Amino acid sequence: MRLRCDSARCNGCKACELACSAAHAGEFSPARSRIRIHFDALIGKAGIDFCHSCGKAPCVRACTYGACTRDEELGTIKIDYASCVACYACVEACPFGADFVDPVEHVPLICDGCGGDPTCAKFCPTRAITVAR
Amino acid sequence: MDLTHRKASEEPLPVEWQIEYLGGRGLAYRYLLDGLNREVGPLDPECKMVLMVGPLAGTLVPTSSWMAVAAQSPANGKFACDMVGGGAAAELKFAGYDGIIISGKAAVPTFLYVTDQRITFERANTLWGTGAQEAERAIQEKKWTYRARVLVIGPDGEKLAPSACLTSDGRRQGGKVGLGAVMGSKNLKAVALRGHGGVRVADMPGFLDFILEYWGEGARENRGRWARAEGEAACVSCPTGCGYLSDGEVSDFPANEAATIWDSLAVCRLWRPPLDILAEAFCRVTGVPTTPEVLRQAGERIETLERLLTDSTMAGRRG
Repeated sequence: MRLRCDSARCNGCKACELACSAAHAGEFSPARSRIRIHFDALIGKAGIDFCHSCGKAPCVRACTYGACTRDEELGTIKIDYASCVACYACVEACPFGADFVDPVEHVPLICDGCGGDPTCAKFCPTRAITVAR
Repeated sequence: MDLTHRKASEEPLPVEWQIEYLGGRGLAYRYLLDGLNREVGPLDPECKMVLMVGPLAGTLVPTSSWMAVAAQSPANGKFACDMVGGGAAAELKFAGYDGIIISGKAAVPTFLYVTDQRITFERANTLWGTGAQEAERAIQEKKWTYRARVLVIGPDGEKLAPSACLTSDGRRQGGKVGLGAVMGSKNLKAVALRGHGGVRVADMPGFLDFILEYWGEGARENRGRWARAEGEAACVSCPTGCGYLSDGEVSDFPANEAATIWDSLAVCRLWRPPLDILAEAFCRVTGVPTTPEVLRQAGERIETLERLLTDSTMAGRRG
């Protein structure tokens, strides 16, 4: 499972950020979401930072503590927060800028695919975010 | 927020007021009513200006990101309130505030930066006199206020025109009652907002289910209802396509909101796209409300407008 985002269809409503943080962190806080929208309201263009679940997975390679691994079943990245020491090596390794730092718990945030049914895709009103199997 | 003494103080929102007045507009009026003085005119430094958001701002509830801005109208001195869309309301909530009360008058042009339980006073000397979009872009490009949502006034508000608007996100305007002039009279060019906090609700899974049900599959597939094409922009958590950005061929400006099309088409029969886009662009930059009369007048002086808008000092966006 991986996310597909079409920034041309994005209208910058930030519903995905709010839904993501609500589902994972229990509060509406874009700074704690695992997908980020950079929308320029003056020219109406969006950029979406999201986990591509890429094949090389530099975040997994960068992790020296074995906390960041690939979920073989889903193909997404998962972090074992019990063994994560918050060195942010994965955050720096991500070539898509899709690995974030939680401002409250100070741990790295990577899209975990919500168990195969991403909340952001459910709430995207323009279907800019879709799921590719 | 006292601009005269450059001091910010915090006070809790009384619970009984929250219950009694509920939303942004009611609370804004309540705070205005507090300490109201007949002797104080709308453009006097002592006069208050209140920015308030409702209890649902910052959540996923559609159309919740509306900020009520209330002050005494410079036009007639009466209470005036208008709602500003965009992302300002949500950002204020994420910054940890329910509202801002601004009083006093700054000695030099200032803009406020509101972030994570902290408010700073910034110099706006270089922004003074610029168009609304240009100032917004300049604030968003500063390192300290990077990508903040901005409520800003154009030259119209600085010159204390009694109808001046305040602008957010390029073309979400609160106006027609002169809120821009109230801000201008305080030497306040802009309020920039950026928060990293969050908003909690009591029952999150139930809340999300309810919203999903409310949006519904049918509503999502209704093409006329949502902003979806490139160039359309939505307010935070409200995907309704009420705004449209011109493609830049006619003028280099964001233009044409639903209300303007209505005004220009139905009221003053100005539906000639280059003309009314230019006219609206002028209104957006300077902060004049796009009322039918203004649009009509602007349409009659279109050559002057074209020259003004292509002039570099008035350009709203570049590149």
